[in-house]
Amino acid sequence: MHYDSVRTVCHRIVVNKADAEDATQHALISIVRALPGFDGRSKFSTWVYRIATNAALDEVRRIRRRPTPTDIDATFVLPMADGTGAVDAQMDVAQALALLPEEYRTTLVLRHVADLDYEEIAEIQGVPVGTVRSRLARGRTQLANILGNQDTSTGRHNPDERNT
Amino acid sequence: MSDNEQLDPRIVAALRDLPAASNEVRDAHIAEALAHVSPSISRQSPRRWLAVAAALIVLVGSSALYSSLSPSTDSTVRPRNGAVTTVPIKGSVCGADLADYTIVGTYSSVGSVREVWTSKPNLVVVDQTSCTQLSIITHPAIVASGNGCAGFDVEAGNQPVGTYSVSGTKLTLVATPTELQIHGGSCEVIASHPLPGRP
Repeated sequence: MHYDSVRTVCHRIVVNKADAEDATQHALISIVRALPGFDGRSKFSTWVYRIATNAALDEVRRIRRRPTPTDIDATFVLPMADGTGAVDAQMDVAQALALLPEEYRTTLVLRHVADLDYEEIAEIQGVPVGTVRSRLARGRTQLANILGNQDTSTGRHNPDERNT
Repeated sequence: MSDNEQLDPRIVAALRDLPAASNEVRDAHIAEALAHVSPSISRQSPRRWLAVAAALIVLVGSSALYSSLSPSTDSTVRPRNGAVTTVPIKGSVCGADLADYTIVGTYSSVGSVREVWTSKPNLVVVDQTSCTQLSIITHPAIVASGNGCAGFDVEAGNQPVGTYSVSGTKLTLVATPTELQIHGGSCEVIASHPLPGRP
């Protein structure tokens, strides 16, 4: 069942709970409306996540256009990590994720939450596979820095993940 | 291609660990989405229609889909004797002509069974024998309410018809001997309409 996965993707990309629920709703409506046109050229799950990702990113853009941040989360007032590791060890992982640039956050979510492979993520984001790899690598590094836990990455080096 | 080991499994687990949506949120999401199912789907080939139906089940799960399409299944009302009963799932014989509507339930009147269907912004009462539309009721505006009508006393002679949702608010339909009552999110009567007569 994809409902829970769609909702999780929306929550991890949008962060703010109420906005994430709105994104989930918009994603489901978009999926249902588009179902008759699904042609099977991509996996159903990839197709679903593409729509969910777009709905979540649309919601993020809507949030940015708001004149005043009426329901700002604590997430957005956390200081940006400076890479020195001086961060609150108790910081929530989701909050840390919210501090990443949007393209890194989305790529990490599609890889580690939706469990998509590089090619599927590249298809959804409309970028080359190499860009996906570099976004993943940089996203992980920044996430590790924000969390102040250099063990976040196991240190194993994947030669396929050189920055592009 | 698995590189999950490059991110601490505890981090991955935390990212995936989102508290499940409440039944109310999930049902509201799914019901609202299903309200946008294109009417053209029903006019497509059976194979295409089945593919779409299967995709919907994969998307939201069969139980959630069934729950969202069966608005009367969870309509719990409390008769005067205090026992909690559940309105039985009501079937329909008139659905083919009401493709854009969702059945709320049925009640008996003047010796025949009536079906009540809902679709924005109307309620439609149909005679189950002839499938003739007896009445179209323009639905009152609903103010979203977080309150739930957990159950109320159905007076003797009244019939619980079923429940349905509008704007995220769960409504309960009750047929009295003379009128249809719409009970709102706090169980209050928000509208009533005379029962239609014979076809």
